[in-house]
Amino acid sequence: MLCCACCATWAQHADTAIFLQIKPIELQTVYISDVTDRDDSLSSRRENVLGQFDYSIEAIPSLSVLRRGGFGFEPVLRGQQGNRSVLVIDGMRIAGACTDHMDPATGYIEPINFNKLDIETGGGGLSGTGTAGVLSIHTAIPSLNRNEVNLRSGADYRSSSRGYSVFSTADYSGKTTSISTGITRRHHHNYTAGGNREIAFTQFEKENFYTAWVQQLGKRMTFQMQYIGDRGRNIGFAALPMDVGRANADIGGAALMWYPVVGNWEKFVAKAYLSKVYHEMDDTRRPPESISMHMDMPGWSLTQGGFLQAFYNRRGRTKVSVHAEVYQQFSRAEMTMYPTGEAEMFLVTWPDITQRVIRLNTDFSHEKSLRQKFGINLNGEIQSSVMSDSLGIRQFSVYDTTHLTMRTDPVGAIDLFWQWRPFKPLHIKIKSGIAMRAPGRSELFGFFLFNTQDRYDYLGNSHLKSEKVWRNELTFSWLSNRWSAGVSAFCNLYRDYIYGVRDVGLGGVTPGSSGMKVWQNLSGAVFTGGEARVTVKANQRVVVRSDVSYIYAAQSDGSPLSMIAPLRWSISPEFTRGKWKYAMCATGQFQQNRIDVWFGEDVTSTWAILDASTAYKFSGKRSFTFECVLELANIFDRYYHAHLDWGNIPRMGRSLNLSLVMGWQYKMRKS
Amino acid sequence: MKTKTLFKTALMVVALGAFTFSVTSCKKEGCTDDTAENYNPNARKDDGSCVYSKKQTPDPKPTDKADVTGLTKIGEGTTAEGTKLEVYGLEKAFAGYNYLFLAVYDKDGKLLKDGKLSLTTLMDMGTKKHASPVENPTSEKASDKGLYEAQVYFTMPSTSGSWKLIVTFVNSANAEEKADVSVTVDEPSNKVYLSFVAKDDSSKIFLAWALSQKPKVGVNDMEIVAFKMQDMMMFPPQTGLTIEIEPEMPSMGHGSPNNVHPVETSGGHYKGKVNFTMSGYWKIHVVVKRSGTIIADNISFDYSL
Repeated sequence: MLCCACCATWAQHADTAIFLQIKPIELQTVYISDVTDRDDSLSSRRENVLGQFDYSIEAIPSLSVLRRGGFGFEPVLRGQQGNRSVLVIDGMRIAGACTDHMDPATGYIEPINFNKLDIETGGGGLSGTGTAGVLSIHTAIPSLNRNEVNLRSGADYRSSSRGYSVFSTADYSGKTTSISTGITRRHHHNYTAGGNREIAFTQFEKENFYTAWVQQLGKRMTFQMQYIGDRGRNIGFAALPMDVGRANADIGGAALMWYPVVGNWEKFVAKAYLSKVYHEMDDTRRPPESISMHMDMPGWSLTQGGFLQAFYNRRGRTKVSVHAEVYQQFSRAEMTMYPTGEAEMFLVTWPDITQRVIRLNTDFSHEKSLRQKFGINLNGEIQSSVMSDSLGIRQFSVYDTTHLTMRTDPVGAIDLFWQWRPFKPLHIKIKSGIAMRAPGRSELFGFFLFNTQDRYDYLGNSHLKSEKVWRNELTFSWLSNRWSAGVSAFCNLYRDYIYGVRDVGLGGVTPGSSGMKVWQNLSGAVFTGGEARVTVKANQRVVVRSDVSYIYAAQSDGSPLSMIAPLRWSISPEFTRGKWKYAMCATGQFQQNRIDVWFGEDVTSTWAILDASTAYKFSGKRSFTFECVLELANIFDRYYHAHLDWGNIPRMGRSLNLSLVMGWQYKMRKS
Repeated sequence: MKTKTLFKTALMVVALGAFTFSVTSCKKEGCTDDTAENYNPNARKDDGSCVYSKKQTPDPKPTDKADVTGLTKIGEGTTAEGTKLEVYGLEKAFAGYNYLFLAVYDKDGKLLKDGKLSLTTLMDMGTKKHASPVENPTSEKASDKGLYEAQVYFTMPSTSGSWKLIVTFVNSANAEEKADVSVTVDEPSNKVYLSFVAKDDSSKIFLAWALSQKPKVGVNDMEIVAFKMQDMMMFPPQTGLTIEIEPEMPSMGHGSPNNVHPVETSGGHYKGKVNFTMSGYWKIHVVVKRSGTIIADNISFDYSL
């Protein structure tokens, strides 16, 4: 119900805003069908097709990003890191292959790959597992029977990084078959921060190719196949001592959808998928004097899974969805170090970790009246985690002879919601639930994973208990013609919160390390805060959007948890006149004083920046559209960094960004 | 609508092709063990499919030959009576504590399994000669493999002179036979032997890391042997020491936890545990104490795993 992403278009400085007639791409949180039925320009945001996905994610109020370079920001939902925020792509799971989080799965997705990003905070949905919630990307699966061919092509240039992005998509939608494909390429050099200071190692280069095919088989069945391939190279990570040499991902899935007329059962889905990631670090581009020792750090991950879904719908009021899934995730990472004049050192940092999950998820909702709706979501899963590399087992035996090589964790969640509309514009929603999360691969079996922010080596702990959370959320939304507002407050109380704790008896390992931290269960932790958004439509031409978000996080003794974003705000007025649109966006974050000193955090000062942009949209003959956007980001060339910028690397300074997108639509005669 | 169908088919083929091509593993899986029957030289990742021929072990040797599989011959000698002695080690002889295996054959080539075997070492440096520590076989019978097991500590490599083993064999007829076996002793690639002058009584003590198998990443049993130089020819075991070990990776500046200092078991042998967290170059610092006083502390072994 909370429709966010207002500042997404005018996202932090570097991106251009494009409003496309063809295939609008929306970023909004959805889960309640009745509200979003409205084709409401206030609640849907047509998004930036060329923009770097990283910046679009960051503008969403409930998300913050951990930034380590110029590309590949790690999204965090309401301050809760790691696999507490789960990402799925059309129900398919993908795991990064870098032990230092340099390849979040969102780095492998391009805006043209997807249609919609849903953020389900807390419980609910059919993707299970995340205690903080789920980020669900719905890709651009073409729909059938539109009888048209759409072609789009675009390019953009960003002055701060002297870089460009180009893309091309082609979609065909026929009566029984539809296909869409697209290709993107980005190449950016180091960007400059305020005062014309070049930030070294923020370059990146990548290509992305996707394709999706839908085929109608018989009257009530369709077959879908999709593939996304992403190849990145020479991706700088200024906050770390090394960059990414290569990051390659392949995601593929095939699904069968059946729409029977069997009682009230609407749809059955059977899907199988595979995602493969290869990641490799590269320190050869760094000045030799900055590297204590040359290292090779490759990583591999392979996820395979399949699920069955059934959807029941009785008169549009009672809905039941059942989802049964199995998946397996394999991860391996190695580290080889080359000291001069000595034997090379080798260790496995992810010693052939396989996690297998079997789960059953049911979602039930009932609309008692036009004003009331309630539901329950149940998720039960069994996760088995195995470490099978014999070298890895021997490595761990030095620290703990009782170290387990396998364990089975039954986990699950129960969430309830109740939605009420006491009178027309006001919606109230309350959600409450309990969930359990089994420890992840690094938390259990990670060996000497060096964290460059706190400069500690992290050691896995196979005796960790599963994490428990009691999650609650209260949302108020007001939707009227002139203005809409939403406030969402949450409170997640954790028990056995998994966190890295210093072990003073153990020394660090990586050159320059301050020591060793072992993953432990804290007795408790609390995350609370919320987001608020207001959109005012002053008249036909003027719209003002604003949002604010805040998180408070603490351990049970009140001490702060690491890397929590401070109070964030943004306000963007927008003026439309004919083919032209003018907008500004002011955004900023307040000082963050609540820091975990043992995590190497320091206080970040308050900052604010201002962007301005102009867009021109032209629709010509033969369904041709052309859009051009010129943006001046960070007008005052402020030199600043956000609290979650790893190593305090500065953000982009003033940048002039230009983008052009052209599209053609060819309507076919029905045969 | 011919073009339409063509276009559709083309796109379908491209999509299918791209999907299949990318999904097939670039990291080819197969059997990567070259001793297996189905070894695939193109496989980059072992998928556990290796099949081994049942005839992995060689045909049993004729009973009149000692079983020296896995051992390296380091020398041989013949007594005046024609008895042949063959000396084997776990690897080529090196300066340090060597595990030796001796096979005794009579003049007709028959393996002798009864008889008392003992040996001493002699290093001829030209101007002087000296022996080195030796642990003779404990049994007067050869093992099931037909070998006599002895341990010899070569205190220096052959670069300083020449080493030989003087082997004495008292056969079943109680006749004593002697043979000289020349041995080439190499400097080991890892520093597994050291000597020092004790700070309390100025005696010369030799320490060696007894490696019956190569150390690996993980927890390793560590056995240190200590001998004292009584005179140029006598090197009895050195008992009563307290030995402390501390492993370190010098270029990384870190050690490892949970090591166990070697504790004396018997006859100059000290057993503990040394832990290695990764492969690479490790230095094991050693501190030796006697009756509470440190008698040596600037000594170390090293090993590149």
